[in-house]
Amino acid sequence: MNANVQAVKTPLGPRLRALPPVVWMLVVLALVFSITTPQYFALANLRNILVQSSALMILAFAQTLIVLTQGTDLSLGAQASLVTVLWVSLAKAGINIYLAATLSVCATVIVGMCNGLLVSKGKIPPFIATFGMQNVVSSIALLTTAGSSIYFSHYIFQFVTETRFLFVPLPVWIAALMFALTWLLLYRTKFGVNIFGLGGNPEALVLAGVNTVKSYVKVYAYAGFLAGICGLITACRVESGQPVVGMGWEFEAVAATLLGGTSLREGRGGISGTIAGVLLLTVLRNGLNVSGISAMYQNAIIGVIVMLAIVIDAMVRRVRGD
Amino acid sequence: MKKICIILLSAALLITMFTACSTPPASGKASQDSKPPAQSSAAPSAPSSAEPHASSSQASPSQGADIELPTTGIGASISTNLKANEKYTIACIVKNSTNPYMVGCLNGVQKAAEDMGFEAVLMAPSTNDSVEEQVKIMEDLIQKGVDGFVLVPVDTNGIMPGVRKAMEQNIPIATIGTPAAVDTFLRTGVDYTETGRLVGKAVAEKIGGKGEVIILEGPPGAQNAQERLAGIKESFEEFPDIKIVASQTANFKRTEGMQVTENLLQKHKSVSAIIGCNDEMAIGAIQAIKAAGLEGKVTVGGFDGNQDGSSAIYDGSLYISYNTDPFGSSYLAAVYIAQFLNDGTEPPQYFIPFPSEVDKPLITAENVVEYMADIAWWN
Repeated sequence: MNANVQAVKTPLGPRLRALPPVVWMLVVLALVFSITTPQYFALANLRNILVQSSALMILAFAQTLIVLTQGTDLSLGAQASLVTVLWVSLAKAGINIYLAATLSVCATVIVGMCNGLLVSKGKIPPFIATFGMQNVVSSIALLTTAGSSIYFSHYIFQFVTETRFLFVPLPVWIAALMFALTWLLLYRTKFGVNIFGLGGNPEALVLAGVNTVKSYVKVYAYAGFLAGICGLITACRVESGQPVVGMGWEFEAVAATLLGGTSLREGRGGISGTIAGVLLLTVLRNGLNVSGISAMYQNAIIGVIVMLAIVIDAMVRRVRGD
Repeated sequence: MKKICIILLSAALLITMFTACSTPPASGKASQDSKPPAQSSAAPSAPSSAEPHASSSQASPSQGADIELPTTGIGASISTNLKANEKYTIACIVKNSTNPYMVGCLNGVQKAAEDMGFEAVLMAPSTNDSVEEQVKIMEDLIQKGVDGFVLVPVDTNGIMPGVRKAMEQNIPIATIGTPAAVDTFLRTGVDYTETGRLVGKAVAEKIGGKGEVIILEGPPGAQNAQERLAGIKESFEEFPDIKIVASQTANFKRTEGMQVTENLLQKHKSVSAIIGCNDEMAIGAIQAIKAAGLEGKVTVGGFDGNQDGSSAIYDGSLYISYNTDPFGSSYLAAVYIAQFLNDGTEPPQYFIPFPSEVDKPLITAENVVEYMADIAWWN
């Protein structure tokens, strides 16, 4: 009996300490904001934060996978914008709205596959390949609507953002679902093992007889799929197609990934930390907005805190010796 | 793997086909939509210029004149006798923090806060022109508990989730330039047709009611640009001897204004006037006129009354401009909101054009010194 208790108890201490530092920073920040603004800890505000983070959350999962393969996908934000525009314009052209959503997500999956081919077959560094793709994709998005935003009236947009299931809004559930899916893929399939392999030691993968081209294409295509889902949620959030809405999100996703403890160098890290990273960014932005701090200061404050978090993370790791 | 590739590729083909075929029916459908069409959010705006709005039809020229405003003056000299009964919090959310027009809006609400005694919260998205972030800011501020919004929405429809949440809480919203897709508490800012009509008329009179005129238009998709153009053309109806020899877009940009004018001057050497639909294009036209050696022979008109435009009026190269006054517009909007919070006074109508003809918004050599010293919204 005693031994049993012991067995349950011992892992708890190290487990708490093994939490990435970003979680602690998140707690500290939430405390600070709750002191400065009384309305901060209201249930409505927590819900607000979760809804606001859901789109970036999904995009950050995608980015985490790419970072795990030692790449960065700079086209993710543009892909999300493209989906908002495609979805609305297809629906406007008279296609069933669900079919239109599926088709637009297919489009970003194809974009992702092209990224994967460029990186693996073309041997172009991911940074360059996806940067090129970012420009192409955002041009397509702009051309689809001749540069303006596009609007279509359908109940689905409001339905997604305003429905609550067990007090939690639908976009948050979708993000949770994507987390579960990505987690399963990453830790329970060969595909996941290969992702870690691509980041850690690609040569070993080749020697082991794994087709790395296929693996790259798959992981970029899956990232495209997630960017597509992110785009669908975003379209619901703004009830229209916006060709530049996702501009810069790819970098926020990289920041969230790094905050979550995923390393840019070797295939180390995981998507659970990314959740904390995204929440940190959203909590910061929300807290600064609620405190009424102007955008010109916001970016500087967020930049400093992100850097601090990453430095603290690195220091903690060094002290721990891993 | 190969199968998936094929399936996806055929899906891509389908999509391309659908989008390619969709363009004509889509535009046909748009006209049936009861809501106003989505506005350009991508067009980068020159000061005050890409502020499209959907329902200009509501504004007739006389409307502005009949209304007794709760403020006096325009631009930096605007003032009010009203005071806020309580320390309300009124938020101003603009499109970005870099465009002088947007900065003018923020400063206007700040000034109103100082004059009336309420608290101003001044916000802009950290990513320029992000409507998604504007919605986030609105949601966050509703949580905080603000009493009113002065909004310059990036997009008529995109801002709706935020607008709806605010209206559910009965928070008054005043929009400037770009309206929301539904009628909110108030809409203000200039009536673009009126701006075109007044400047067009002044330029026509200056050239003696006859001669050749070139117009530099705004971006083709932007509705405010269309309305301004319509206003200019309307004003020329009184002058049958005026002939518009060319009307081309220069996208509200100075360099494009110069290039387009250079090209047009090759063909139309005897042109009497050029009207740029904003000051930036007008200044571009002036550069082209100087390069062609036609200085002093061509009357140039512009819109906005921005810093460079005012200097050009001062040195005589620009004849006239229209003060589009973001400072005064947002000041007026904030005053209306505070007045409503005080005693429930509603504005007399949804759209109050400001500054309109009665506010004497035209800037010429006669009043440019005074304008630059006391009124200009960019000071």
